[in-house]
Amino acid sequence: MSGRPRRRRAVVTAVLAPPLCTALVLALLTAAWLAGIRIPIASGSTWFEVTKVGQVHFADEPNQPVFFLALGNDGRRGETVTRGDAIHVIGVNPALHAATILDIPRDTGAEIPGHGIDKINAANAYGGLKLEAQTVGNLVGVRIPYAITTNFDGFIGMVDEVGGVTVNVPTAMNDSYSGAVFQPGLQHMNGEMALAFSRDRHDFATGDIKRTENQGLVILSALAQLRQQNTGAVGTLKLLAILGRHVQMEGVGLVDLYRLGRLGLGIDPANVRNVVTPVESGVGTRLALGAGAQGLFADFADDGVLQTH
Amino acid sequence: MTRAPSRRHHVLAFLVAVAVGLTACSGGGGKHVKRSRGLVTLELKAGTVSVESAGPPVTLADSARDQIVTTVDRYVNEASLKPIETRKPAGDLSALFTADALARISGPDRAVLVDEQLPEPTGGVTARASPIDLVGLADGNGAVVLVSARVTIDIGAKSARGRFRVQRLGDLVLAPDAGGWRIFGYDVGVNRTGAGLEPTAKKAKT
Repeated sequence: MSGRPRRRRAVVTAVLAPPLCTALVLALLTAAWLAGIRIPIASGSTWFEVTKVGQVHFADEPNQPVFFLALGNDGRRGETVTRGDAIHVIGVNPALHAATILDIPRDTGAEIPGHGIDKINAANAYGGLKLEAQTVGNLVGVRIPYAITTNFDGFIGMVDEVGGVTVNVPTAMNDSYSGAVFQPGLQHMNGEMALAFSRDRHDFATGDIKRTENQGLVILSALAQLRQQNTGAVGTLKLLAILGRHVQMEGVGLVDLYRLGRLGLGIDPANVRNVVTPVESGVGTRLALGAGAQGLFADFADDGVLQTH
Repeated sequence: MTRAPSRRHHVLAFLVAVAVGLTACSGGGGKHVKRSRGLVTLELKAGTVSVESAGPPVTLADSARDQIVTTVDRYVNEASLKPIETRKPAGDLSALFTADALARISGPDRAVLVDEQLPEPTGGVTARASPIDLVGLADGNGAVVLVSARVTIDIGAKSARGRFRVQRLGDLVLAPDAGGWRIFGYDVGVNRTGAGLEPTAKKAKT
């Protein structure tokens, strides 16, 4: 499933169907794990930020798809300007009880409003989450009302807090840069290990593309685990109390997170696809959208679920 | 629209029945029944109360607790007991649900949350409820923004064809709204069995 040239790489489906959801919260939160962006200070250490970046609210139309941006940034402690290194658009269709994680390679070229064409991950450095969400939404053709982001420290803290995450590692990994050393198969990872797994790109011929896919895999695994641990209303409240100590929210509150969490919990992980956007060589180090990308976006944008990919 | 009950429905029905039976009959539960103008009504009471906080430790104010119990009490009586007894559609529930939740129970979830179109009772209506356990969620500033209320209701009645039973178990999630507390979400199952009823076990959640 891996190893195909970038230009031909189409949709990659995660080997595991593990999960989406214990909450969108999870979805969002967990997804947020992957990246890492600025980390301000909240009541405890801040693991992630949730920002309302658009006017759409899924509760207004409960049977319509809703799209989220999950962004992992490259921020480290003390850094204020970061780039989005892990970019995922999560489409959830409440009526179909299904979802898609659309992974976007960070070097993909895109029109960034007010800044011309650049690598898509630069939007976060130019204008923060809102500009990143706008850029990604324009590229994919969806309206994104919520974005979640996390950085390295936040990702580690979040994974450790939930007791680690079990990931079905697809291939052997041994990378001194990220610290990823894994054998194929089920591996229970703590925060440091999950971060290393999510960052490794040197072990793969397709580099960042495979890394992006692996990040989606971690999201799915985490969501499945959370869903298993915590499926009821009370469980969701308890989870939010923990997460609420480590979240910085803008334009949203815990009530919104509850809605998002319940939305995610309503979806069977088996009904979640993890797909990487096809890309090919572009200008300089930028990647161009590959064959089939526009069709993939159209399939994704109409209802958040892939029917023909 | 009629479908043969699936194995999943049987399992759900069994679980709801067992849970309701055990909970409603356990200590602290029992009947909270009174008669008003010839109708049986339930008088619900609060059980355990706790708050999970994302900030400083918080307790749920007595006034909030009482408002929540009142809302749940009205829901049980207006959406369940009264329609069963009168065989009329439930009245206006807009004061009990937030706008989003109200829209949902006007759709498919209504069959789970409202007891309408059941056999006409000829007497022998009984109702039991457990005290309502409350779990709140407080934000970083200590404000309680959501409260989950566990409902365990067991209603029985006699119809011309025999006795039937409605058991409801689950959580109603309430939020402050318009100066009071309204039902914002739910994760509830219902099991209807007995004479004149196709066994139904349904669940709805938001």
